[in-house]
Amino acid sequence: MVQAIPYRIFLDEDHVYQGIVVFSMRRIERYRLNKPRQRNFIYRFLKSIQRGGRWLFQLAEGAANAVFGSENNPMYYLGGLTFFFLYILVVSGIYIYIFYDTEVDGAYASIEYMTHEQWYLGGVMRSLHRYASDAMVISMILHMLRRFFNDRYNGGRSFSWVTGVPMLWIVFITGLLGYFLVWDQLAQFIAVRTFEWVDWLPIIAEPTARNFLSNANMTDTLFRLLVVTHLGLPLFLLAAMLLHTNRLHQPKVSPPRKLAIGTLLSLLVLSLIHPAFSQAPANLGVAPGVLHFDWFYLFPYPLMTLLPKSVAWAVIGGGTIFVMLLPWLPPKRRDPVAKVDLTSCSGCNLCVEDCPYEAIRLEPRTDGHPRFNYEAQVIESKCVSCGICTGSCPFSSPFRHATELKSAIEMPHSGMQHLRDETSGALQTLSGEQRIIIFGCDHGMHVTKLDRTDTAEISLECIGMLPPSLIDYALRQGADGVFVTGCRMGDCFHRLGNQWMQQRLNDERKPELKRKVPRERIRFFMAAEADRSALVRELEAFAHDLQAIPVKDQKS
Amino acid sequence: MKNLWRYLGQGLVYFLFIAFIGYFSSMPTFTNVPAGQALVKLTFIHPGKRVKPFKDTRTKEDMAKLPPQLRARKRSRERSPLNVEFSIDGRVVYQAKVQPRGLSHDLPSPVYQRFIIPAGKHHFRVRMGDDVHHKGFSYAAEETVMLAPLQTLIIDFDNTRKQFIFE
Repeated sequence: MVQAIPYRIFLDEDHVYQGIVVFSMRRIERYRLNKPRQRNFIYRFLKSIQRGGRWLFQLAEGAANAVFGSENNPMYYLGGLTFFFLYILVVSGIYIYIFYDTEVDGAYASIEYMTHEQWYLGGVMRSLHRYASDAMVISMILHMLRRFFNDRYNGGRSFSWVTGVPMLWIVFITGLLGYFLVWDQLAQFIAVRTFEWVDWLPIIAEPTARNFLSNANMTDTLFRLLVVTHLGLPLFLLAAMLLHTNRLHQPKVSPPRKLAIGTLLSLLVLSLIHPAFSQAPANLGVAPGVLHFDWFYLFPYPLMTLLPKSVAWAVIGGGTIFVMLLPWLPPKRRDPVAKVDLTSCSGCNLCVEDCPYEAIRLEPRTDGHPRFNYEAQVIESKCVSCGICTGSCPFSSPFRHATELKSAIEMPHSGMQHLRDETSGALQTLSGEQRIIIFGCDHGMHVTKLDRTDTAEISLECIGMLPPSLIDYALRQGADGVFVTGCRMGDCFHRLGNQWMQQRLNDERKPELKRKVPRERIRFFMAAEADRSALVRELEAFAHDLQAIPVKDQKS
Repeated sequence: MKNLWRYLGQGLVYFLFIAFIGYFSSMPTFTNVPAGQALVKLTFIHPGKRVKPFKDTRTKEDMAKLPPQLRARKRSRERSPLNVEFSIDGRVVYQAKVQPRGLSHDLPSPVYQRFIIPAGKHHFRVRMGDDVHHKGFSYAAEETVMLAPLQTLIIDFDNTRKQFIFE
């Protein structure tokens, strides 16, 4: 328990205070660097929604982990699945276009031909096209909600958020145009209602809905214009998706193979057992009555019918602007970004490879170092202060004998000196038979809330920030075991931190944990807030396992 | 055995996924126009009369002194709003002063209104005034129409023949 232990606070080298303290040095430093912001009503409201939503998502993700495993959990690949559905749409769309008649009189018949005469391929492709587009809406909305509930949409991530919102509009407009091209009664309804709605805008001089007053008004030119728009918008969508992932290192632009196969097969099964059909052909002289609605795309239409157009515009347009501005309601408090110390940096490129946000680049040396040609440079606008670069730096070693322990790249508020002091302080508080130190992260299970007497807990911004040498240090300084935890695998708050940590411990990624460090004294267990009891069980099992290790191995 | 449960679980998730998509991609239905009802659309575009008549005090001599691009006659472009009244079976269902579009109010005034009424025989009367200087209506028409269920009746204005048309 950290909450009630004697602790020393080093405000600087000349001022050392002692007392019973609950904060870690890093948190004090962070507090000093960032004045607390006034928390207004909007902030509190959003936070309460986030807590509820996060809880629901963690339940669903936990269940999906149990059946899919973290490596194939669809909830962790919602963005990748959205890309995957777009790939299906492109392939099926190209096939449909081969048989599609782009004239207003022939469009319906050509779709009917595919659906009924060529049901085994054309019909399946048509159904696949529709259901993949519906699935795309689901994955996109879930992806967005998940980002919001997990607080992964602001700060350095606001770029991805802001570029993601217009994609919703592109997807919806493309989908609506797709329905239009069938030119059945649903298409007629969509065309008329959409243009009636658009005509409310004062910039429209002549009501565009008048193009759909009678069958004679419908021209092939207008029809082909809408066909071309339906074909062209996905290109914009693809460009927007690439822009959306532009600032991410190793973005998930496709799901894992097993998940992709499972998803595709399930959509194929749906296409076969419940094929998509057209409704009665469009006839502008007759109003569509009862319609089979695709609610994934058409859910705003009842709203548009019930509400005055001005109110519907305010709800939909205002809602879009509100969602876009969410990252600044209020602006996220930014921690100081990573700093490079050129006296130590050798330009080894490890931090560049590990940064999940592509916020570090390697540039030619600026200090004229005789041996090293390159240096790491931090792009401040992209850095989210996750600290993963500290964990990847070979100079992040607590064993160095420097007056001021400093890594080549580290957080100003959470450097190696702080980490070593905090670890040493935590070790001093440990007593009992099994002295376990727990390294956790601020976004997984909150280890500081474990309320245990036999462990000391240190929570980092991301578990990827933990240099493997600090584990070695903790064991050498008297810990019997080191328990490493963070966000669930596949779901790191900082995208890749837990993955990098696991690879470092498994000697698969530099900087590795030294081979002589006894692996049986280290336990790697990732857990979210919802996994508290599982984590406690694992911790107790670890303590039990430590007892079984012969004493002679303790100083290995 | 554990793998079997995992595969069954995956199958259940995929089943729920396609069931959700399969259902909501076409159900529940939405009623646009209820059975036994018909749709009437009153829609036309008509430019109102100019609010101010043409008036230019410049003489031919003044004009000759100006460069060609400035010799265009200056006149107010603003048009009158349309005064529209529409009644069904003697009951006024729409009455409005429709402003011209455009920043200078110099474009035609658009009218687009839809009414869902029971199918059957109905008497329609539409009147329109397009001059702000004259009270009353410049154009009017009335007609009795037998509407079938879901039939769409369009009431338009032919700007060439200057008369309302029912189609």
